[in-house]
Amino acid sequence: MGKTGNRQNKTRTVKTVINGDEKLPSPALDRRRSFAGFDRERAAYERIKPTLLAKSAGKYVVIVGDKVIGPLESHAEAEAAGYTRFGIGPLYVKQVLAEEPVVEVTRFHAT
Amino acid sequence: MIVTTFDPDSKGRPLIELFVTASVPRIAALEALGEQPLSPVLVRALVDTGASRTIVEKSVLDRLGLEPVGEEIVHTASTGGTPKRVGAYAVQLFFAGVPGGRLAADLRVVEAEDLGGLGVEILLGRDVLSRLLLFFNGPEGRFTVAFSPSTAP
Repeated sequence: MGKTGNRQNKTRTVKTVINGDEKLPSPALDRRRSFAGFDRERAAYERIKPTLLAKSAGKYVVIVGDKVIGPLESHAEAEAAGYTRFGIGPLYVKQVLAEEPVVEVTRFHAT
Repeated sequence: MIVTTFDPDSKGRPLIELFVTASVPRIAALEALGEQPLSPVLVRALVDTGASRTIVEKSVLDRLGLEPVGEEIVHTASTGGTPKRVGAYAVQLFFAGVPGGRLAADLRVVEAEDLGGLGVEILLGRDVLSRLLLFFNGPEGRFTVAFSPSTAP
């Protein structure tokens, strides 16, 4: 319990720069988030998708809840920005594409 | 360029032993907290040209303590005309027993509930296979892989 308590009490201040000059609020990096599905994030992405397609097709965004970071140049960059801004936990990283790619697998059963 | 040759398993399948671990950005985020990522997991990967993306069994992702980084729309032999949404995770892949043999530094893989029936934990899809040369010597029953190690993203 002692070690866990120490970790929960620890906070870390981080500043992130997106697109050169936008400074995001300082998050608590070690705030662990649980996974409750991506319904909110999917809806948030669909709302902004037309705007993103017009200006940032092919780039990446990362979404947690209704909060969006990006556009970013790569998946790795989006991941890093997401962890810095939102802490360790699930992220909704999305490449901005007009048509959603479908993964094709011949031998496994999606349940 | 790293070149390595391996024999198929008893069923004649191209199986490769790999280490899977968290992605470079996740490890950096953990280290910023003073934490260490969980140890890499040794897995058996089946080379699968029928998979457009690499598939990883959920138990492996759980052992690495990973959370999803999104979702993918997946079409399989069992989904019929209605593809399913499946969790996506970011990992690194290393060729086991090959020093410096990192196949991917930030690979977005698709989760599978259970690949146990195949006796493997990963289906190594064309997203990774497209980064290497794979030669199947049918008469001798051997596989050769040649690849340039992946650098940090």
